[in-house]
Amino acid sequence: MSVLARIDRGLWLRIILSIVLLVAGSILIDGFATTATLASITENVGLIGLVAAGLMLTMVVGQLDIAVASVAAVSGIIALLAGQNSLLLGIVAALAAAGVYGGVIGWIIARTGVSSLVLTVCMLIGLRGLALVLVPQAPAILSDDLFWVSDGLVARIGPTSLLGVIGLVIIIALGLAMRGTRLGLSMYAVGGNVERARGSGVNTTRVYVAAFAGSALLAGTAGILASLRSGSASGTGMDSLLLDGVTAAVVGGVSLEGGRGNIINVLLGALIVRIIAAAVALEGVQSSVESIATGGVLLAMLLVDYALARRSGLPFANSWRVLAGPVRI
Amino acid sequence: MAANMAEGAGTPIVVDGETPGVSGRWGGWMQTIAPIAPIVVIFVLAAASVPGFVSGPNLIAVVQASAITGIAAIGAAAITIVGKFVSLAIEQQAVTLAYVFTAMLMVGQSLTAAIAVTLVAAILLGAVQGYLVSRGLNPIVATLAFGSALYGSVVLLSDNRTITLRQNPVAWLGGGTSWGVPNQAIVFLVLLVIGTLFLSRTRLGRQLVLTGANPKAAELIGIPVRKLVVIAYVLAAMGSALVAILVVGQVSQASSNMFDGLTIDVVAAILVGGIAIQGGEGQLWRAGVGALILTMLSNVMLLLGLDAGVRLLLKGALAAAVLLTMTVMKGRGR
Repeated sequence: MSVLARIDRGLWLRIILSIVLLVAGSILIDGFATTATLASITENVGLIGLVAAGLMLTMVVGQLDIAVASVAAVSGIIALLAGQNSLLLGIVAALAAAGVYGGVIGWIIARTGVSSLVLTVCMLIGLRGLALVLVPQAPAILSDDLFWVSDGLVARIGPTSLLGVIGLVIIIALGLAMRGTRLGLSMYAVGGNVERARGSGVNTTRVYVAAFAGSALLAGTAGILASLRSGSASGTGMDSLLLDGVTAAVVGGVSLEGGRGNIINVLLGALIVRIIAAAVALEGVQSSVESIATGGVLLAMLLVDYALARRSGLPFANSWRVLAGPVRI
Repeated sequence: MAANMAEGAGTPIVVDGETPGVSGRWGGWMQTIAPIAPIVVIFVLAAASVPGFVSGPNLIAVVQASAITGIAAIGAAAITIVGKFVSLAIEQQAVTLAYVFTAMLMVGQSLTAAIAVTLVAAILLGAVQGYLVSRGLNPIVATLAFGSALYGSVVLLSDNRTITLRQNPVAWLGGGTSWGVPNQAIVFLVLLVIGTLFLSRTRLGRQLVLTGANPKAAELIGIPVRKLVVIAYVLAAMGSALVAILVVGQVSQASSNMFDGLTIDVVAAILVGGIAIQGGEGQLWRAGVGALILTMLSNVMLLLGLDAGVRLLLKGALAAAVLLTMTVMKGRGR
């Protein structure tokens, strides 16, 4: 009962915050309350939501994948490079690479007990290097006869675009799978208490592999979609996806302690992040304001989370928790 | 064996004073030597295959180039040693402090005043991050957010302009040499010695090490854990302040992109040196060694004509290799 009440309160809080932001934006900013702005917001919610949903998987099992932005960049590049002749082949190759990479990372974390944060920071660096190796100078470009793909992705469908629909469908399917399958429930169990989960017969290695493969696949999908939308992928691109994705996940109430998080709140988190970004863009101020706003929102949300946990007497296990493992750092 | 090791992932804090290192003399010896081995290997290979590597000017350039990363890494190592891995805001706080220092000189303040204000600003930046993390916020996520907000503010306030000093009172420190050795390198080595003595000989230093080794035990015996976390972030920010002053001395200007890639270099140095894995054992020299390895590697690859992407790729791969090797070796000892 109390748990349900808590989830509901969080949900309502986020819905109200989104509405307040939308109304404030419409009143204060010229050109905010247009279908074009709305479509741009929802389209990017699909994109950021994919990254945030992937982060949610690793956060739910009590780990964190810091390399999502680099994975997205490499995936986008592979899709365009390998897709010179057949785009489908490129997309499949990019997704396969991301999935295998994520699975291996998850397996290593499960087997060696290395801190996921530290290992994925290494991957953040290395994969960014790989992206620059693949496209050292000019970005990879979508060939001319495939420009219909870019146009198709941004084609308006209702209040969003095709890209937004693809993102939302994947995200909602993931949310249903998290709640409705054995593997999904195992993830929450492992994040809640890994020893108890193992004691009740959960294969923890499989859970970690699934979480990190899922995270890489979702980040990869976001990278591929973003590259196809713009028709190009550069070695230095997409580095803002990490901050945006983490902010969406944390604003969406996913606990960095593991075991908590649901997809609807993550979507609302992504919505809040994108409303702020759209407002900043429309105001015509510098992009530095966006980094202040996003960073500020993330910090504020971390503090709210902290204050709420302390007030309700929940054990807000300290940050050593995420860094834990036999390797203490 | 495998099952035993797999237990580690995601377990809460391992409350153990007795997580052994690698058992036996061999393992211990291997762990000590492991971070130095790459330096020797790279040096020998480079000396044999890269023309111009073992020349005086090039070696001095290597030491100088590793000094900046090294100094920032020594500061950031305080965070690692206290058990919070690293700050992702190193680059941003160095840029901020460079602007503060340059701006103070521009408005005609004395060098002493400029340095004092820069250090006070560093203490503030470090204290805010340290406070957030000490309350239990995830160190990586909190400093990522803090760095983003800080960088945005600095770019906004400075209007993204480059400030150039007409007269540079710290040029001798940033760009000069003493007895043929770059002053930056001397600062790096002196700081390494001071830091090592601080950790092993002072009460505060030993408390930092103990907190990182076992936060619960530290709390039980009355060590003010939260205060120490704040102090660690302040020390890291002081390292960034020193880096900012040295680089402003070298280039006579402050710009928003002057430290691009510094955070990655510092994190890689901490990982490659192995200090992140040793954590609470507080071996500060590992941070310096890490910086040296990475710079040598970059230098060799630059001389070989490899581009930035390959260098970054190898940095990540090397960091992951050291991390996993040391983790597995430590696991074996259990």
